[in-house]
Amino acid sequence: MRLSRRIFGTAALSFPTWAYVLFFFILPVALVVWYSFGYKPDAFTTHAMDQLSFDRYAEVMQPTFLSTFLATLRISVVGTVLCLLIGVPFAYWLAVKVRPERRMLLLALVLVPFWTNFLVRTLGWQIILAPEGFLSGMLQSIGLLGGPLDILYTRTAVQIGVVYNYLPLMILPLFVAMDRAGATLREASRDLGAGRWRTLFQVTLPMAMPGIASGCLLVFIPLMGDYVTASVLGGAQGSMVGQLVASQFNTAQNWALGSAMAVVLIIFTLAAVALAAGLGLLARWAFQRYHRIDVTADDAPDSAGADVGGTAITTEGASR
Amino acid sequence: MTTPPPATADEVAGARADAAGSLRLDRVTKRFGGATAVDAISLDIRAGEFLSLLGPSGCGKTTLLRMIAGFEQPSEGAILLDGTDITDTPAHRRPINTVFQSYALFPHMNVASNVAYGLKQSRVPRREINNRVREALEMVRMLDFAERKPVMLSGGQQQRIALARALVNRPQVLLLDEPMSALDRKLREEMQIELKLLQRRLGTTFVFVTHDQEEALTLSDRIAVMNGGTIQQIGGAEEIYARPANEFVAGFIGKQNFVPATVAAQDASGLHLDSALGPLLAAARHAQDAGPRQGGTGPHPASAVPYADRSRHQDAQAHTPHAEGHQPQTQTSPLAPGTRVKAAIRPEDINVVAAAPSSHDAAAATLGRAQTRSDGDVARSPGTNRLIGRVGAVFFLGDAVSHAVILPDGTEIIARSPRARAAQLSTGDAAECRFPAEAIQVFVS
Repeated sequence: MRLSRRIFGTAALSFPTWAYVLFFFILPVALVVWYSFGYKPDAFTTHAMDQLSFDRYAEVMQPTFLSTFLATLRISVVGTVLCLLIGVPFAYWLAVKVRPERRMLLLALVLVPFWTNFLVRTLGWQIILAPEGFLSGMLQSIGLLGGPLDILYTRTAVQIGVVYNYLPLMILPLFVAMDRAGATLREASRDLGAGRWRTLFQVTLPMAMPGIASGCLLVFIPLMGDYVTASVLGGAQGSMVGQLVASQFNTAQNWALGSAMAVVLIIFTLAAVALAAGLGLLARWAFQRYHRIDVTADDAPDSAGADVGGTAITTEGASR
Repeated sequence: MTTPPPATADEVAGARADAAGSLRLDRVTKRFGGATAVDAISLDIRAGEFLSLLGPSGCGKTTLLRMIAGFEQPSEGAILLDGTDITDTPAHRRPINTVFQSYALFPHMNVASNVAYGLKQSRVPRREINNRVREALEMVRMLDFAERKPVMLSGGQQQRIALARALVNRPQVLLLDEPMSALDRKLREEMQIELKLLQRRLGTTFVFVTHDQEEALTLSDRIAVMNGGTIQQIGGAEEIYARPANEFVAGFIGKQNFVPATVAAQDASGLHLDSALGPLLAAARHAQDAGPRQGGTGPHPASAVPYADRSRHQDAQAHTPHAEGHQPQTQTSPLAPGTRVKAAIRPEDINVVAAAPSSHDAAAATLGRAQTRSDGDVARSPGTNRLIGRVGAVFFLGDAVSHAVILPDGTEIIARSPRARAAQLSTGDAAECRFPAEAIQVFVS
């Protein structure tokens, strides 16, 4: 009776959340999956569901589309890794080296770009990366570049753009994780004989692992579905799956094919995340196995455990 | 109960009979911005000694410990370990380990890996690491918990692991930063005994920071009482308790009744004081200034009032000076009449009895004046101070009884008697506080 009341009480409290997730997430995704089995009957109809098939998936798997999928995956993986490589030193510096009273100001500066519209920020990079832009001129004047900068409307420009756009999403969880490790643990590490680098690799980074994982997820997943960055900076060469899906829905008016692309994108993303998580867990398992301290007596088998307890001072744990 | 005591502590200590571990602090100063946290402290810590840094929060004791560990760099002065200057040696190269107040166990490692951490840094061979970790865990009786993560341990267990993690490295000096403060009372007392026994077995120099005077008195060979960034007094527990160097130490260690007074005269019978409670007679032949004192290698220029009887039973046993620490010099510099002083009397030195219902006492009480007897009683107990008042409250403390006696002028005198000898008094009863002239310590205020 009390148990059932507790269950229903909790369910009642979480009802708004469940309802929201159901109506605005699960049902729309289910609808997309449903549409992906349909087809486009004529030029004026977006989709028809009277004949269900996997034909749209076969269409998606054609080399032209598939190459865009692989390019998206590459941009996302490289973008996530670049964000991590830039984010880790910055978050470490912010959490460890910067005086606490200045941290909040610097953290606010990291977030300043978010005050501006995503599209406007990305358009800003068009100006920076343009062949006649100031970056191009500067690089030419110092002799690093023979001709005008030629990366706008390429994958390189998209790559630069996504790193810029998603970096704060990496820095924030990394900072929180490294800040949480605390100065005392780093001091304990130094006290026990580890210098700065060893402390970084044995204490600070391992303790920041949850933050690293959530940072990578926060960058990788939205990056796979990004559409604005690639549209503004990628042109024809640097297109990503997001643009394909958008064009199927908006331009081609083929909801069935667009839905199939969206579903494949979700599967690609989930598979990549699952693979990364699996590799990470495997690496952790191997690391811990290799570094395990074996305290079972190997040369003095007679006294193991014999002198636990028995004197005036007993193990507190034994009484608990 | 037949189990022999584990010999593992000696194994952990290993062949370190030659290892020393004496520390010398030479005018060590630490300033943070404009504030001076540690002010030119000089201190010799002997090899194998258990030394406590005792003081209120903010007295600089933790900063001093952090400088010894290498986490803070002294603004001035030098730190020498066995004669070698380690002032500029980084923390990770010092043969000194720390038990942190929060234990600071690595949450992402299990107990065994935590203990092994220091050995791994010094690239000890794998097999030796395993053996030494096992021995260290046996030493603190936590071997069964080797595979656990720190979050699964109680506070007392975490503390044992922190101790094992530090001691497994066989440090020359072990620093302990209020390691007991997070434990409940009973567990803390157990850990104190264990810590003391461990220190004796290992012979490692322990520097122990605490604000808990009881803990310092229990554990230490010597105590350095700190206040305001300086060492006020350094000495054995009994010396610091019985012969405090100044008013701060007198008030910080144990309980005191402080009575402001003025010097009236000094003669053969002792030091005559005028106070709001009436005349008081102190046996002091010397009083000392109340200013802070440097802990140094040389003898202190001034020291405490020597007085024979500080025992609770007042059985007139001569006080044997403590073997540890320096000897106070008993100078006889008379105090000029009119000097403002503070008379300090320990509660256990005050004997509370029911006030005699004589007219003389009643008169004294109603007149609002306590007095030093000058009548026939003097022959029986010369120099006994007597204050008459009423019992304000009685506190039963288990082994002792404490009386708060309110004197006619409103001053509250706390007296403490062993339970068996305590007078049967209740709140409101007329009471007389008796204490010998030797019980009064005089500090120039």
